[in-house]
Amino acid sequence: MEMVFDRLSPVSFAQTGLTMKKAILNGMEIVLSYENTDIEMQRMKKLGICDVSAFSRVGIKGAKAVEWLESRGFTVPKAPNTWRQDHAGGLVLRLGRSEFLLEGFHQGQIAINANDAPENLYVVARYDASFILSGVHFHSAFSEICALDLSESAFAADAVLMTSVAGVSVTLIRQLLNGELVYRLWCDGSYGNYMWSTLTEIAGEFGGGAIGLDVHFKQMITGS
Amino acid sequence: MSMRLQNTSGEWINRNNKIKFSFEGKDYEGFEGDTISSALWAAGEKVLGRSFKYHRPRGIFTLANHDVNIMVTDGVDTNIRADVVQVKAGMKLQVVNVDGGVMADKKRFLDSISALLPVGFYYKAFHTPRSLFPFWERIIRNAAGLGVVNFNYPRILKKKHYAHYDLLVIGAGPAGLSAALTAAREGLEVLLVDENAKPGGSFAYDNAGNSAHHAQLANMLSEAQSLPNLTVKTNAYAAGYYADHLVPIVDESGITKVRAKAVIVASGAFEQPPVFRNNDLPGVMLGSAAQRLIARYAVKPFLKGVVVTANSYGYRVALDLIASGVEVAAIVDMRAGGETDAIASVVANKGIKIHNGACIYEAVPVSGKLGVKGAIVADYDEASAQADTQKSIQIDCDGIVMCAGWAPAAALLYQAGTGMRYDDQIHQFVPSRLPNGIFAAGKVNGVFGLNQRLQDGARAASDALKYLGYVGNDTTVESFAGSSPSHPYPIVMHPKGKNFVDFDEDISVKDFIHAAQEGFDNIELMKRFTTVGMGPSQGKHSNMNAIRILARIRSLPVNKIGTTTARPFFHPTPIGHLAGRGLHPHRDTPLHQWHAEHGAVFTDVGAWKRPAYYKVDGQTKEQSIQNEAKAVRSAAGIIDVSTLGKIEIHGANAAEFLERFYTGNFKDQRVGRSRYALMLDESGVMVDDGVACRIAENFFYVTASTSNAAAVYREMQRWNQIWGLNVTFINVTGAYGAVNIAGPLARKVLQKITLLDISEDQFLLGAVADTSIGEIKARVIRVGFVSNQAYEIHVPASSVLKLWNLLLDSGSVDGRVKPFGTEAQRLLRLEMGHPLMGHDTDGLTNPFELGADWAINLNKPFFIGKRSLQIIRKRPLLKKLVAFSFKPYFQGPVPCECNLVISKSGQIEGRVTSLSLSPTLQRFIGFAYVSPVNTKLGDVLSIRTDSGQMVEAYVVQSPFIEGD
Amino acid sequence: MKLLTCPINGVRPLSEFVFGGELRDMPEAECSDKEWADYVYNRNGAPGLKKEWWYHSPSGTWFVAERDTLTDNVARTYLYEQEAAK
Repeated sequence: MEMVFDRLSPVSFAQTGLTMKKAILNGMEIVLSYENTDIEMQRMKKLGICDVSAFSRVGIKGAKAVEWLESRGFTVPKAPNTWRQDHAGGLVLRLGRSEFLLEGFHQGQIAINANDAPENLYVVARYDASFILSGVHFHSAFSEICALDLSESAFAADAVLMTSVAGVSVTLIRQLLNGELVYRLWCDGSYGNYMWSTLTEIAGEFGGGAIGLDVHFKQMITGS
Repeated sequence: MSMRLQNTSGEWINRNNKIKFSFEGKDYEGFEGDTISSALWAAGEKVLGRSFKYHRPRGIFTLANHDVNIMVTDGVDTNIRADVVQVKAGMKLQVVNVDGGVMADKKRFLDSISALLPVGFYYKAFHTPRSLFPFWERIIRNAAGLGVVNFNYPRILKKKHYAHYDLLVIGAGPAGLSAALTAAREGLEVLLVDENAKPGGSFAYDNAGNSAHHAQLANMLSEAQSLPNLTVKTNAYAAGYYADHLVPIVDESGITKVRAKAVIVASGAFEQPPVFRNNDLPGVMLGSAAQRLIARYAVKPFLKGVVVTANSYGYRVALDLIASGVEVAAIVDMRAGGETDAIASVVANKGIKIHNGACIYEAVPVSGKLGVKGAIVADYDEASAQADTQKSIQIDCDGIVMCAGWAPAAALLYQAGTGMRYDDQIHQFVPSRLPNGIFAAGKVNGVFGLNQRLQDGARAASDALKYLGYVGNDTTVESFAGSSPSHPYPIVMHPKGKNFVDFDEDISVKDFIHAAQEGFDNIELMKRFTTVGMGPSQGKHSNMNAIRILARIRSLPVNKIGTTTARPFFHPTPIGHLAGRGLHPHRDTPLHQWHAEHGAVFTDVGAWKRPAYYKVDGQTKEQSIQNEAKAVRSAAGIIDVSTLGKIEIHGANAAEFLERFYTGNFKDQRVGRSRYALMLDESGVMVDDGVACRIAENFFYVTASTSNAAAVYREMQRWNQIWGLNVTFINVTGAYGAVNIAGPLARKVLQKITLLDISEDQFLLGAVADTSIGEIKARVIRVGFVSNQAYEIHVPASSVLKLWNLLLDSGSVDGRVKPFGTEAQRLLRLEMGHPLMGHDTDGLTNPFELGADWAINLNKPFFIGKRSLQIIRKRPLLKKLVAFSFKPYFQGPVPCECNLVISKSGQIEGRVTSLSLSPTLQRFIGFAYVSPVNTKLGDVLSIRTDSGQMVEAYVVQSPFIEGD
Repeated sequence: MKLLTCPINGVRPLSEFVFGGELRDMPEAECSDKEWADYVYNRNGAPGLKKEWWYHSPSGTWFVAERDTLTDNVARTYLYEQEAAK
């Protein structure tokens, strides 16, 4: 049996039946758009849920992690549970004291060679479901599924929150993307279908919903 | 006749919008803003409900949601509280708990046989003869309910939201408004909630015939609206207090879970009734109820009334009655000294006769007790609570207002852990020790008088500001000079009773006396025996009088009686509200869609969805499971085991860690080999098992059971906090998926798609190797759980589907690789003689009972549970797990798992833990615990089936089959 | 619901945590059977300040809380290793 994709998206089951224009990113399906641009722009402004599970990710863990990442040219966030953008536009999240999540668009953006790792430094295998959440109704929606105060005064611009959303352990940051405030959420891939369904159901109640990659990252995947 | 008044300043009704509705089959018209009760009262109706037990006619009593005299159903919803629910166009309402309508309720005869139905009567009657109990039970169940549940009630989503504020103020009366404004002016984010439709509380209705203070109220409300950091929420009640200032606010749309940094409780107080015979007739109501009827709904409470009061409040109410055109026939003041404040003169100057040191001995009913026609007024002796009936007069009236004082609405303060004390000056419980961050203001704090309450609210806000690290002003609260707002004992005894204390439960004074006589004379026992405070109002109008009566019976001061605990929720809260959206997180394996498309019937294992079996058209569930198992035995089967726990253990001390954590040996384990890993708790009980693979000298890859995966990882982390070994743990349970392929064709199918040499002599049972399958990086472990020829393949989660399809493709040549689910897996492992943790073991099973001695090395210096095993080993074994079977053509009833094994002497010897029909052996096989002396091959097990019939099985060799 | 402060992640609602039992010292292996059974099965129920293991699930962090079991007030929380180092 021939399969177009190499790696299964953690939200593919939940997305069955939706009309989608898809592409392959890092071997995994990612949706470029569901509806026409106008509808998706509307959704983005109200409450857009964009699946970016296919982004490239590497986890690193160990006492020597900071040293080693800096030696590889990464600017490492200084404090535990903070993040920053790296030179190539990817994200470096410091999860707790000595674990890191590096995320980039393409595999090439994260030039990590695991075999390169010294002793006591380990690659953390990951399978994330990940979403970008945008729109004016984010706080109303999240006040239903998250107990934390996510207002800007309580949720610092560089903070990494490890908490629970809709009953699932997640990692949360907020970010300026194309000048707009968005939120990024990661959870274990096995919860992907549930999280996608829950977020898009709630988003729909605010006039928002699923939006494709093209809304945030116009035409970044060529030949799609 | 219409009791509607002319336009009243501040009224809540909108006379431009008429609302048509029906009640008890008759049409009525009210105004937008009316409650059901106020609209009906305006129309001249007085009998609006029937009491719970005696079915006595009832009307408006508290009009504050502190009683349930008037409950109706609209056909969809039931137990609608007419006093506080707004009337809506088209409502078709019926009274609950009546048979034949509220006027002609067939159960009204119960009132006349009430002597046969004292409190607790159901504890003494109906139990003999026992044969009649089912008959009585049906009658009692019918009689004991209120509204009838509509099982077709639609599911309406009521969302639950979190909200964060600096300060939560509960109650928007004078104290609460003042507190909220004071705090908001300093910049705090404030939420002010009030259960009423509009804020203001008594500020707006306790007028005493004079509305000068309304201007001040209007200013405060206007300021509240102008402050962006002050949110006012009406029609919302604070349902309870939970740790660290979590207060759920309930309104029609759902629940807001408010987390505040500080809370001010300004919830006011419940007005309490004086107790006299027939104080429950329609037309007898509390003073504040009359004030609310007049001020909010522009409704006259009655035409001609008597005011009985045990405090100064009655005089204020009298002035409001006079201003609304009610003829006040008399004031009956229960206090010997009467009222000393100037207000008494104001009332007297209006020509109202005041009887001091008098009481209403009884309210005189009209025929059928459908209303009041008079009041018998007599001299009253406060010490004995007796009326002097020698000198009594009857005053004609169609209504009675009664005032006796207040009980603080302190439920949330109690729940927060506030210490309360009884203040002998004002005869009220007041806060004496407040927890951190909790403040009280106004009547609930024992502060009376309008100015005083306004000041107390500002004072509480100031305290809260200081608590939160802001600067607060010092506010003084002027003292209240008037007479006590509450009377210590507003009770009038009567030989014929029906002087009600609790109107929900129809409890009168003698019920308390009887309860005490029976020995239920402590507040907790008295509550439960009499049921006082256990009705829908939860004691709001009754608990204080009950405490006072018990105190007098026991000759103790009130503070020695105590109070029962007011628990959430403050008002009954719909279950739909509590459910909210109903979030049910679940985990899917990457193969979920494939399973769903191929007929999988899923089962929940923890949060995971796993296929139990695959449904095949024309086959029963049992047949499908048997066929899946047969496929594994005859060819090959594949099962999705992605849910297994998977933990990487890295570091120089990895093997040392495993030796301490599990029961077996790991230091001498060679790279490329896997070993059984058995985990015990400190008491030596088996907790979990899995497989530990040595991938490199300092790298073990360990599996754990699906349901315990998170707990095993957690415990590993915790133990290493203590041991401080050089290890790093990585939980890769979600990052990898896994598939088991098992059966005589397993090797052949797998070999075709991998370069790893898995021939029998090259890849023995227990071998593990990292390799590639297609382009997928895979870890292959030769396991022996469901078959001796079985391979567990671990790959990155995103590649499991690809692996699954490669296996199916590879096997399709022979056409016989079939998926199987957890049901078949359970059967197959049983045939192989493998006990299942959590199925064949329970919370007390030690490894010796399972015969797992081989997995334990007691010579190691330490492992979790070792010390306990050393002790257990010295004792005789109490039970042992054996394999058993029935004869091949066994005919008897098939036992179930958990059926007991009974010894020859009739004692419980053990139980069946696993039982399946083996398709390979065509016999029922299983595991059971038996006495250690009955474990020899051929020993008989007597099993007691569910029907009580005994069947015999016998001990056989384990494993049951070879499993190639 | 109660709030608990994870030393690494900050203040979180109690539902994000798993209770790990009282922090107690294991007796020496040479202790009597009776002493060992007491350690395994018995707990001190008297109210007072107890050291307890707590685990923040979303981040996988174990820490110790000193909690007054009478008032349910948590005096402080800290990482086990930080105390052990003292």
